Amino acid sequence: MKRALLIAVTLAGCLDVPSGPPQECVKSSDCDTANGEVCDEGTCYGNPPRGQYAVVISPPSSRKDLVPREMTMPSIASDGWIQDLALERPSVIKGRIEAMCLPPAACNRTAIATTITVTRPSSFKGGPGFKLVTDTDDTRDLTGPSFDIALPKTGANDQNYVVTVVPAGRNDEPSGNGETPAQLYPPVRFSLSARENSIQKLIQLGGANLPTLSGSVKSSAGGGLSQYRVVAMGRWEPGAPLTEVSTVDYTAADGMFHLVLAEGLAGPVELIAKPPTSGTAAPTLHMFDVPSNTSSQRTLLQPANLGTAKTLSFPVKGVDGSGSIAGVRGARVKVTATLGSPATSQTVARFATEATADDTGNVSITLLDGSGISTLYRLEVVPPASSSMGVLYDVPLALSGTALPLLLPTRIALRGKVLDHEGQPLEGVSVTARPSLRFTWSFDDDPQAFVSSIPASTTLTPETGEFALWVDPTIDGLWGHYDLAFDPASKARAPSWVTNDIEIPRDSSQTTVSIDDIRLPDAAAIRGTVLDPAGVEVEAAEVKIFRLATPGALCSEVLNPPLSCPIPAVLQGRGASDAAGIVRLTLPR
Amino acid sequence: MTQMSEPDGTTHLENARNRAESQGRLPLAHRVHDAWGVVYRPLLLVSALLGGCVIPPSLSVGSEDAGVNSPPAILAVRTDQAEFVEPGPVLVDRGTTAGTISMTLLDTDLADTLYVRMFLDYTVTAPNPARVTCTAPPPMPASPQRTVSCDAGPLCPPTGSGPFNMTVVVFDREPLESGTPAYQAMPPGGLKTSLFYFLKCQEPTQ
Repeated sequence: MKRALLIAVTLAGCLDVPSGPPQECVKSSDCDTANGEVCDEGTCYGNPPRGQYAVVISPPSSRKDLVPREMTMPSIASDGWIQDLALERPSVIKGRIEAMCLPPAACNRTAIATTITVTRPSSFKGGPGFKLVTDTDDTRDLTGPSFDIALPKTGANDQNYVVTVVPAGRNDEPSGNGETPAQLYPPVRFSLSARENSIQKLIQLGGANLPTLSGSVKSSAGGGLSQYRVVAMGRWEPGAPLTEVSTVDYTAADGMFHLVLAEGLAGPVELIAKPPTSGTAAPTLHMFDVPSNTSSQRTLLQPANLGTAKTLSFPVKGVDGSGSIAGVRGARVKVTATLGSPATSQTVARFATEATADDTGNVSITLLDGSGISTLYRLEVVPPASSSMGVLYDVPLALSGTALPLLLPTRIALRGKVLDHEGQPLEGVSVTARPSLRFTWSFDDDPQAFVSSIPASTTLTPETGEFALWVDPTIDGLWGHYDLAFDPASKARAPSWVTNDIEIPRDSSQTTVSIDDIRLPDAAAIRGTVLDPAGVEVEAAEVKIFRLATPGALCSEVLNPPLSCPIPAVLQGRGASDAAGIVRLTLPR
Repeated sequence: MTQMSEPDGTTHLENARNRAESQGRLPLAHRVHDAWGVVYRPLLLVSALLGGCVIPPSLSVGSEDAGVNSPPAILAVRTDQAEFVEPGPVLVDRGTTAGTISMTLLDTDLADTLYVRMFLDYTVTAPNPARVTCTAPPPMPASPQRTVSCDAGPLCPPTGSGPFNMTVVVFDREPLESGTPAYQAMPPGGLKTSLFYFLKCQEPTQ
């Protein structure tokens, strides 16, 4: 009796264990054993969903001896255990980056400072692939390596790596310490197979017979323009994005420049002369369709009648939640003007300037007031993330007669409620609205880049599970479609989920769009052990599970999809391994 | 084959000499044992009530005004492919193939919501608003460690490959609409932590 009293006092009077969600199970019979579930750690593990999945395992940064691994989903047992989450040892590429030796000049064996970028497409459709960027130092040590890179080994079904070496010193303005490597050597690109444990590589920059571009940058009056940064942009392969593919030069008082082009370029290049950032306002000069396989001379001519720099200050305003007009703090304002057309094969001048609205919503930008440009300005405004004010894109801005201050359009509120799989409101879910692929790929290249750079609207659900997100109903005349991403709190028994392509109704009078309740699917708890090649558990490795993208009709339905139609695989679950190497994830059923 | 260890059934001399047995029949022991009801029973009760019972630390320290706030910590920042290492450089795709940036965060104030902001080229004299924002609610059930996934799509600006100065800041109070430093001011008592990377942006590679 006395002992019973003591136990009762001890248990009932003292224990103040914080309350949390009740355990899902105590014994396996509390779980869906018919479908293989077992109870462990208070959780019903197992009964994984069917479907095609891929896994990416990333080692912690402290394990330099391991590299990320992509693979199709190993089998998941009915009790939720994933097999074979094994990381691999890298193929280590070591070597030096030197100038090509061109007799009769003495060979310079000093290692050259560069940036090396290594990429490889994903082994599964829409996967993240492999990307690595590293800086290499210059060194006068003639024996040791100047770079040391660890890559996942190239397997039988893997594509080779693409390695791009870009000499350092590509600043907007010339270095005060003489010529940089970027002024001496063009970038190089090559393919690399990493099948061996260790690879030695000598990368040589420059060459005897590389095509060159020479010429001058001149004002409309014929005088040289100094301190302009001149470079050629081109493609390493057809359809690839434009990147810098030449040496960099900075014009002197005579405006002269000399560039060396990289070897193996696809198609013509674009010559670009950018004015110094510290100088007076001026447009960047472009010349298109310059052949990349032969040397040539070009003159970039600044247009006439640009006028002088004039600072324009104006407020950026919008209607806030209370219905009053207020300044939009933090709004990014960009003004551009384009003179000429690429089709004319003459110099095209593009002026661009940016500023951010201050605490009161005021912004100051410096423009050119000449008759040749003052009627050509176009305006973009992007308000801060989750603002109730919307974007402006490609709006004409005349220096006189424009209706300033700018009044931003009001965004529309996407309202809804997040429920768990039993229909109960779900608290603590991070909800993010982002433009859908259908919406983004409906634009041309420039507005597509603009739409992609708009900060996503995000919020957190309260106890009621409700959310409201501010989105632009239209951009550049197109009605919006948005994906909603739901990310429940860590350790919650709910999966991450995306509802795709919610269409904004074509009704410009509405301020709110209510969408149906979002009922997250049930979560299947699964787990696995991350091991190194020696079979030792790895702590703090991250495991990500992607649902493989199914080829759909989207790319044939939109106006401007990227050439490769890179529909990203949907990330379904991610988790980090604990001290025992065990990673626990949830997948939507 | 290596033999498994097994229980040793032999009786060692040392163990035999120290074998536990009742001493209750001894006079001295009787006196002590008799005092159990007088001395030990109240002591046990008191100790059970005050010192002996398990009182786990409250999990809501940070939500109370008088609680001591502790700063959040960033344990890891990862893309879909690899972990970022300060100061980089790190490489992110521009636009729709940028994927997500996940962060593993630690905060011993278990009830704190953590606010993540990613800035490019932010300086106090020329502050730029965050390009990426995301929020990490308190884990359920409560735990000091949590993860948050942020959409990396808007991180890279529409043009330029960088390197940009990227600062990842985690706040334990929601940043204010006004105040200094701009876009990073918090209510009194708020704490933050940050990491810095050189960010390079590239066009989608696939």
